[in-house]
Amino acid sequence: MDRWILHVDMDAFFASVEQRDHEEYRGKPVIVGGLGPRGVVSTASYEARRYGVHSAMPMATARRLCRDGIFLSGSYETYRAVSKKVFSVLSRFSPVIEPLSIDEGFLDITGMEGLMESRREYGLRLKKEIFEATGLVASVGIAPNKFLAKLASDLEKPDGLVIIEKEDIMRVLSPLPVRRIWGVGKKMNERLALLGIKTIGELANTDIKILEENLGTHAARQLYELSHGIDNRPVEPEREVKSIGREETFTEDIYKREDIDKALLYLAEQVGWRLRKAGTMAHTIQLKIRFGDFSTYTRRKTLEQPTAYDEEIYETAKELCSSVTMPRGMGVRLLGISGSGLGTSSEISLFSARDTQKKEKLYGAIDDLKARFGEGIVTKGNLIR
Amino acid sequence: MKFNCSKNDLIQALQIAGRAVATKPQTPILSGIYMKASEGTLELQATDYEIGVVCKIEADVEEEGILVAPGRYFSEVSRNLPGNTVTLTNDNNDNTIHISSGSAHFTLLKMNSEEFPCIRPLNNASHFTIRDTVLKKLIRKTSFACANDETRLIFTGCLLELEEEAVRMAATNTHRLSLDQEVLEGYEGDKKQVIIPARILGELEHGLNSDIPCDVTVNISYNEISFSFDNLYLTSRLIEGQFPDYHRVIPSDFKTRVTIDTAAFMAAVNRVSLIARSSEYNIVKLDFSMGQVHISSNSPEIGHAEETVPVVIDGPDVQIAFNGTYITDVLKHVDTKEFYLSLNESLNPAAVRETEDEAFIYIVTPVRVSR
Repeated sequence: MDRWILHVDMDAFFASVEQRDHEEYRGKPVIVGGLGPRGVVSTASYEARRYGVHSAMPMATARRLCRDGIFLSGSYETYRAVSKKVFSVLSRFSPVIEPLSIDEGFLDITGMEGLMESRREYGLRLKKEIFEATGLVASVGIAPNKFLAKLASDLEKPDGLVIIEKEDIMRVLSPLPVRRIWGVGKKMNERLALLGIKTIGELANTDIKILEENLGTHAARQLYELSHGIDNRPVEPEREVKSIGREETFTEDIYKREDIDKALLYLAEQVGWRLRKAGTMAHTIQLKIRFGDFSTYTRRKTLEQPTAYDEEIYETAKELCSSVTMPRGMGVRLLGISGSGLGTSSEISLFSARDTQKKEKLYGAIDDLKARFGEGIVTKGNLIR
Repeated sequence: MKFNCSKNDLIQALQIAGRAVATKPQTPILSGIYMKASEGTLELQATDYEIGVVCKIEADVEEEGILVAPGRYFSEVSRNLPGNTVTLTNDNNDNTIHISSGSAHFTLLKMNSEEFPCIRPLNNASHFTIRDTVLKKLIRKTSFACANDETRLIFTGCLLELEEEAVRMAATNTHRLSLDQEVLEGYEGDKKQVIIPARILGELEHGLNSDIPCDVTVNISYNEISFSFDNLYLTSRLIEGQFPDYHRVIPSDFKTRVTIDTAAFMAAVNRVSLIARSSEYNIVKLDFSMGQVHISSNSPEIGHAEETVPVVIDGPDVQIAFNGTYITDVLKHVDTKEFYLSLNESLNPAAVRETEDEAFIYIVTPVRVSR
């Protein structure tokens, strides 16, 4: 049976939510993201994009480009609530949904022809129902696989609906730049340019042997297949969570040991809470540290027993941190803690069984408060600012 | 050197000594078996520096002497010889060992006996004697609870504790503890604690198989221990380090005591464990209420198993999860028809005891399953 995949992507999601909720923002350039000196743009409204502002751009650059813009730090609680509504609409259109992020996802609509007048009508109906539920506009792409579906949803943004039929695949792909292929970043783009390959069509017409020699067998095969519009990856409804973590880029580099420890404690608290909320424990704790010169180090330690307790995460992170030598005169720009090797159970040690019972009761109480009043309700004394 | 001996006696002795022959010898000589023939006795020795075995058998010694034979070949040759009597000769000027039995004749190259680290009886050691049955029971009821993980060496051994008139043995892998004790008549020495590697205890349990009860003499020096009985002498290094205070982990009281049929419960836990995943600690859930225990395990990607066994519950109901292996391990060593499982709350250690023997106790921690 022919596969058909639908990709939905909300248009300028965060900015559109802000414009929906604030009449005074409508028709104006709205930019949502980190507002500190090192913040980056999460979403720019289409009005702002006309000034050259785009996501992942440093906020400072965005401010320079768009002096009259409305700059917002965003309200993620609201976005999450809206996202929930979007996905509840999606769930009416396919039983197999793979969320890619807060505002986009894949739907497998293979074999559902009996439920739709036509694929175009189905796409239109989906867009209409999202609009009715949220007042927001989405772009939709429908194609025989994930790669093409995602590409299609982007072709006529905003408010787009593009269907790539099998016989049209090469006609659509050929003129597009190779960067439009998933996994082709800046470096790969340069390497392909050296081979004189700029468009997907040129890539598709290159002998695979030449690609293999220059890019390595694995990358070559993947690119070659994608350039011919072949992609067999299935839509995976619940992608298994492999790790749970948090990281923070500081407004200014931090130098003092106690400030670093404080930051680690703060991150450990968040990671612990997330782990417990997910009903899981981490066997391995990883620390990421980036210095002022952007040199980045990661250190990991596998614990004897998995944990979801803040202080065990903190102690491990601190230990890992002290194993990284600080470059002379350099401050810390970013710290991150993550837990992996996730499982739902751990063996209790005989020699700390009493502690375990106590901790379990303590965290039971803490998590109860956090669940009822929000994450900020309980924290360690030395984190109160 | 020349002697004749019974083939079966020789095979048995080689089997015991063979267990101390190093499989990956630090020096080549440790792959050999040392033999000394004198006054109607053949003595065999083997060691890998960790443990050592000395075994004596009767022999008709025609010419006294000492030699070291390559362990593996000598054992295999002896095992396969025809006939009932083995004759072994070695010319002192010659490099070869001649072995004949029945119609077969073998020549093996000997090893340099001067290089062999002979096992000598422990000097300056304190000693005591213990009945073989008592020692064997102590080993059987505790050594299974040791850790296999070499990274925490002290937990790969059993603690032997001597007190006036009492001997105790304890083993733990930090998630469970097995403790047994016996009266030690006539011991008036100092209070003493040593950690004995589980490996030598295994060999000892294996060797203590005589039908006729005997006494075992135990010698303890500051870093070695030896056991001698019958015609055997076993020695081993002790594990250095401080064994944790096990008294601390034995709860002083329990809220619930359950009386359970040993065989029925063990069989049920074994069955339910089939579905439990080793990667997640073989979790088996136990739900004690209404005069029965509901045993279950669940692995989303494999399946689900459940079974109930009638029990007598004395105290509040409890739900608790254990590593199934830790439960079946101990039940294999429980000798009474029924046993007591004593519990507090779901995250507190539980205890297994025999209904007719107060001396034995097994403490096991539950598995914490996230909420």
